[in-house]
Amino acid sequence: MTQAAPRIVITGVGAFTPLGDSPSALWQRLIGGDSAVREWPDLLSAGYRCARACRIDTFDAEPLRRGRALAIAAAEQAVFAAGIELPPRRTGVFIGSTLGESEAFERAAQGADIDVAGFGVASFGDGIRARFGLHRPSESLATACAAGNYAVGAALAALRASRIDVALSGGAEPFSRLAMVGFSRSRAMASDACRPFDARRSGMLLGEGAAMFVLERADAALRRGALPLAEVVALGLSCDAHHPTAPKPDGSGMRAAMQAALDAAAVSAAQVDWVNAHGTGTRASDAAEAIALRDLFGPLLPPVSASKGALGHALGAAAAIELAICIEGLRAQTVPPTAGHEQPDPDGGLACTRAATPTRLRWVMNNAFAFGGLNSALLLRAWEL
Amino acid sequence: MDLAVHCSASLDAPLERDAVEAALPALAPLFEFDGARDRAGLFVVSSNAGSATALRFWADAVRTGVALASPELFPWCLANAPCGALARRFGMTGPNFTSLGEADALLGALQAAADEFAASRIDVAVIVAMEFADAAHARADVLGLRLVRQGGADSLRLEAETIVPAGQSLRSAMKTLALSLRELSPGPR
Repeated sequence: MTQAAPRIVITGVGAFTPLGDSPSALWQRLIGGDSAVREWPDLLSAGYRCARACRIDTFDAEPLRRGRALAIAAAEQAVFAAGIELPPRRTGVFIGSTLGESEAFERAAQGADIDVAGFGVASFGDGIRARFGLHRPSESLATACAAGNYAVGAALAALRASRIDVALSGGAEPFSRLAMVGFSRSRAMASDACRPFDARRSGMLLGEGAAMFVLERADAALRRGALPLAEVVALGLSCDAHHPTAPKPDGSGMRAAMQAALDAAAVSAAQVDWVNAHGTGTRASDAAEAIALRDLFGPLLPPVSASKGALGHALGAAAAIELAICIEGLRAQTVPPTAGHEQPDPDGGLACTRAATPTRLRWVMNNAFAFGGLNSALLLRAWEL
Repeated sequence: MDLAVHCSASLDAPLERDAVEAALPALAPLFEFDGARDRAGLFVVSSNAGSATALRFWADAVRTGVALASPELFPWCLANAPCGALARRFGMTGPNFTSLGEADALLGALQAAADEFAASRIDVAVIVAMEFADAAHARADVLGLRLVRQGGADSLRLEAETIVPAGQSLRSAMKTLALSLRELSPGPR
């Protein structure tokens, strides 16, 4: 007889986003239908075709270390919320990002005397370890726009195997001009607004931010009197192996990741109460995700929301920020609206939430996909004894 | 998990895309196995994947103007591009990981593979460590392993911990591991 895997819960959340500098501030503005999208004069004057983006203008940091500062600030918030003293030798740090400190790479490419080796994704985890005096090496998941899900999945595995007692996990991404140019030149950027799953969608808008989580074993959390916010149950992964930037059009890779999460959790699609979609607002990715969701859930498709119309796409931080939204939604028993989604695509598209929708939520799926064909689906459950 | 095949190579390639292309002949034996490709995990480790292309891409963007930057280079600015390219080339549709770091990251990839085996999500794991050319190194280096599930415990993981002490650079760890693997097994088989 095999022993049941220990239950792993989130007991603290921290988030810095263009819509708010805490999970609750983010949630309140999100369900109120706000959007952080605006035009930025510095981008306009630099000649960007699209100068609209979602940035955090209230967060000051040394420009070369903005990503690390965001990660540390979110981690501080999460640790404070969890009310935990981190055991230095038994706390793991798992962080996802896409480009690391993009500003350092940009300046180095323009001739500044900067050794970029110290500005990659690993520098975020190193910063968190130093801030909290942690001794274990951190894990840096460079899985692009799915990195936040990967980081939480890695923490889940390490906690279940009892290699650590506490995990600090999440994603961080500073605003990146390099990404702005790259996605624009890849024809992935919208000109005005990000409209997930909308008939008029024309692409993504860039964002930035960080979200970090304290994860621990449920029994340990309860013993110290902490209130679990949500249970992390399973991460499903797959790879399209299809194209460097485009998803497999039939959505089969995305569906495989979602199915893998369900299989690992031993639950059926019918049990899922809410899907937080990846929903970038690009023609190809939303179309593939819509097919995958319809194929997997059929007529039992639960409410689907997407947040990038309000927050932009924070790349390596996106999945983590959206996980923070999932947790707030579970706590409020409410699915948030989908900013930018007004007209469902008549050609086999999805109707997403258009207003905050109170409903019974137990199982939530957080989808995140990425360049390189990466597909991930993280399955959460509302905390219950 | 047990070692099935290993390989290593040194490559004269300035950017990630060139290095991955140049590494394909050496890496190909790792991917020659029977079984479902969605039951095979691909784990890529590097300390600097994406860096060389990011520097080149931005230098070009500044030179040409942002509206004319090369769209072909941009995907290779992302550290997971080599993993994605290997997955496409060899049809690997299972779990696909890229982690950045030094020797600890290599040990982490071995542990991640062990976790995937333990959870019965994969039957085969291909682990590729790639260090790309940078300011301090003119050549790229690659080391690859294919691991298969066996009945026993994590023998390679335990041995790797012994022969790749945490704290080394990834490039040093790759050399140490390659030498040890050659002693275990003379080469690709």
